[in-house]
Amino acid sequence: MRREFLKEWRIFLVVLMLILSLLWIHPNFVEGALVTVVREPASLYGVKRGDIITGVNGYPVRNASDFTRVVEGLGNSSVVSVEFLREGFPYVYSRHSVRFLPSTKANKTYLGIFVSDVPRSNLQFGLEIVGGTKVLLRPEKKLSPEEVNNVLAVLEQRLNVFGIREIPISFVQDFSGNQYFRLEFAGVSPEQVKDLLEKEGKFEARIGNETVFTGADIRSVCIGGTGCVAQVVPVQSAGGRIMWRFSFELFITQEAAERFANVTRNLDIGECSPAGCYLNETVRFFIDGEPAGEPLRISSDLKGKVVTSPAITGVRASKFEARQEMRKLQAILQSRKLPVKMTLESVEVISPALGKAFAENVFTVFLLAILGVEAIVWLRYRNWRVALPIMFITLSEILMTLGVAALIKWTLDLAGIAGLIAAVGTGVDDQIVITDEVLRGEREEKVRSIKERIKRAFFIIVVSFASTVATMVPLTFAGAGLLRGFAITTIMAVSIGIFITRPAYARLIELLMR
Amino acid sequence: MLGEIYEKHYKKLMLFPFAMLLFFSSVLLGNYLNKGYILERDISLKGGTAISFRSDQSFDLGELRTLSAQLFGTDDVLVRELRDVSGNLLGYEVEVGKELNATEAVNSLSEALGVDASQVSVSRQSSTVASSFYKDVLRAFPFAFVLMSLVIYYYFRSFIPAFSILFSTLSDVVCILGTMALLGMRMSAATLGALLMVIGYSTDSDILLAVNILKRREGRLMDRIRHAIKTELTMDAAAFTTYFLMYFLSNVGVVKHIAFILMISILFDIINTWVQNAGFQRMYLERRGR
Repeated sequence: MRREFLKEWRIFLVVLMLILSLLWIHPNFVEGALVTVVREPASLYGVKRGDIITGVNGYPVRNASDFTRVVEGLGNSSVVSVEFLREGFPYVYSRHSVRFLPSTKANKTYLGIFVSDVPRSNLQFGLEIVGGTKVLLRPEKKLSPEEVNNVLAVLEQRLNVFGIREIPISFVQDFSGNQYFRLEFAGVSPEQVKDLLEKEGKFEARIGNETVFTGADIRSVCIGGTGCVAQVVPVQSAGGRIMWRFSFELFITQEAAERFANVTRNLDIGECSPAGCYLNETVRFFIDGEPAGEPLRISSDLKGKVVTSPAITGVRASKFEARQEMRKLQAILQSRKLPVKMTLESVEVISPALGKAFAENVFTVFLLAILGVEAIVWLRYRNWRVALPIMFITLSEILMTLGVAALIKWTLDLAGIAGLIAAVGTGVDDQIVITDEVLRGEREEKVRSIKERIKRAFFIIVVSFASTVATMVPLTFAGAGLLRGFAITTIMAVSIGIFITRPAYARLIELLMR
Repeated sequence: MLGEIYEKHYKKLMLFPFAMLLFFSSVLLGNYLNKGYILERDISLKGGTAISFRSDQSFDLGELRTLSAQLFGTDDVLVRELRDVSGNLLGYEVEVGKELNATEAVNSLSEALGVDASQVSVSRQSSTVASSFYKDVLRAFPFAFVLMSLVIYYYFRSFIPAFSILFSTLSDVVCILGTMALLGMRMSAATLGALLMVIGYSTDSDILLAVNILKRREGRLMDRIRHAIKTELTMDAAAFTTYFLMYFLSNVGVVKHIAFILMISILFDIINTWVQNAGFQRMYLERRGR
C-alpha cells in the first residue's frame, strides 16, 4: 500500500502544488482596512504592518475609505480603540484590540496608521488592469552602477516618506545601453506622480531640538568615485571579531558648519570606547518632520569645530549590512531632490474602469478558449479518459502558474496573460503528443511498453520546451524589458508544465489506459 | 487521392511553399523599395500617444478621426472601437502619432466629446524610447533563432533538421509579415511578441516531424509521417480554436492582434512544415539511403 502510494508521486506532486498554489494565491474574504505603514503613536502599541483593521471606536471598518472617514470624524477625541485581525497562519486570524492616545497633525487626529483596501488575493495585476500611472524616466547622463543604486535608494526613500509603499521601481538597461527607471503607481494620477517626483522633501538634521542644517545646506553627498570618500572597510572590534565600517563624506555650507560648531561647543562628552569618545547628544535626521534612519553619534574631536566636509561613519556586523546602512543614509541626506536630472520619457495613465472591463473580457475569453480546446480534444478522441485528464491538467497548470506568480510577487500584465494563454496552448499540444504516442503503440506496436512510448513522447516535449525557452530568453532582456512580462510568464508556465504537470499527465494516461 | 499526391509527388508540391515565400518576400521587398520600410510601425514602436475611453454613447469613427486630427493638429490618427464579448460598445481608442501632454490630451478629448475624464486612459511613448525599443527587439530575433537552432542541433546531432526547421520557421515569419503588409496592418510591440511565439510554436511541429522522419525506424516512412500529421492537425485545431475565440471575442487590442498573427501563422505553418520541411527531410533521407 505504502509503496503504491509512493509510486504515484507525480500525481501527488500535482495535488501538493495545487494546495500550495491556493495558499500562495490566498484568496481573501476578510473585510477591513489593511495596514500598510505604521508610525508613532500606533507603532508603540503593537499595531503592525499587515494587520487588518475591522473597527475604530466601535465603528465598523470594511475598507480603506471607511477607515479614513471614521478617523476624520473622530474630532479631538481622547483615547481611541482600534480593533484588528492578525493572520498568524494562513486563514487563521486572531482578534486584537488596542487603546491609545492619538496625536494631532495639521489639526487632525493622527493615529500613525496608513491603510489600503484588503487585496482580494496575493496576485498582483498590471496597471492595465487595476488602473494607475506608469512612467519611464531617463537619466540625463549615463550612470555607473553605484549611481544607479543611489538613485533607486533615493526614489524609494522619497516615496516612502510620502506614505507610498511597494511601488515597483525598476532599473532597466537595453542592449543599446540606454538606461531607464520604470515606476508603476497603482491608482495614482499623473499629476500626483509629477508632484512626487518633483516635490522637494523637507530634510532637517537636528541635535537635541536645534536644527543644525537642512536639505538646502547640503552641497553634495559622496556616493563613491573619484574626488571624495565613500567606502566600506573591515575593522577589528574589541572582541577580535571582524566588523565592517562604512564612511562617506558629506559636503555642507559654511553657515551650516558654523551652526554645527556653535551647538556642539556647549555639549558634554558622554561615553567613551577604545576608538574614541562621543558627545552626549546625537544627530537625528527628519524628513517632512518624520524621523528617518538611526541617530548618529558625534565624535568628541568635532566638538565646537567648523567642518564643511564631515565624514559619516558606522560599524555593522556584515559587509552587506554596512553597505545597506550607508546607502540608506545617503538616500536620506539626498531626499530633497533627485540626485540626477531625469526626463520623463513615457507616461501611461490607465483608467480603472476600462482596465476592469479588459480584465473581465480576458478572463471570459480564457474560459471559452479552454472549453473550445476541450471540444476539439473530445471530437478527436471521443474518450473521457483522455478529455477529462487534459482538462484537469490544463486548469491545474493555470492555477500553478498563478500560484508561482503570487509567490514571487510577479505582476501579471496583459502581455503576461497572453503569455499564459500561449503556454497553456503549448501545454495542450504536449498532452496531445503524449496521448497520440500512447494510443499509437496500443494499436500497432504491441511489443513496446507504455513506458517506452511515453519516453518517446517526452523526447519531443523536452526539445520543444528547450526551444521555447531559448527563444524567450533574448526577449527577457530586449527593449528595456517592455516584453519581459510576456517572456517570463511563458517561461514560468512551460517550466511548470515540463517538470510537474506533464509527467503527471503521462502517468494518468498510463493508469487509465491500462 | 490527396495522400497519394503527397506521398509520390512531394518534390513538385514543394514548389508551392517556395512560390508562397517568393510572393510574400517580393511584397515586403516592394514595400521596402517604395516606402523605405517593410511594415509601417505603430506608436508602440515609433512613439506617439494612445488615448482610450469608456463610453456608452456611440460616435461615428470617421468623425471621431477628423475631430481628433483637428484637436491634436496631426493627420496621423487611427481610431478603433472597443466592444465586449457580446458586442456591446465599451468605448474607443484613438492613436495619435505625436507625443502629446498626457493630461492636456485627456482634458481636450473628454471636453470635446463630453466624456468623463476619469474614464479616459492615455499612454504616451516617446519616439526615442520607442525606436530604441524596436531596434533592440529586432536584435533579439537573431539571438532567438541562433539559440533555437543550437537546441535543435544538440538534440538531433545533425545539421539537416536544424537547417530545415530554421528555414521553415523563417518562412512562417516572412509569410506573416507579408500578409500584414497586404492587409495594411501596422507593426507593434505586440507583433514582435507574437512573432516570437510563432517561432516557439512552429518549432514544436517541426520537431514532431523531424522525430518521426529522422529518429524513428519502425514501420513505413509514410505511416510515420501520417501519424505525425494526425497529431499535428489535432494540435493545430486546438490552437486555432483558442486564437479564433481570442480574436473574435477579445476587446483588448494587444490580445486581438496577437491572436490574429497566431491564427494565420497556423495556416502558413501547416504548409511550411508538412510540405516544405518534410520535403527537405525526405530528400535528405533518400540521398542518405542511396
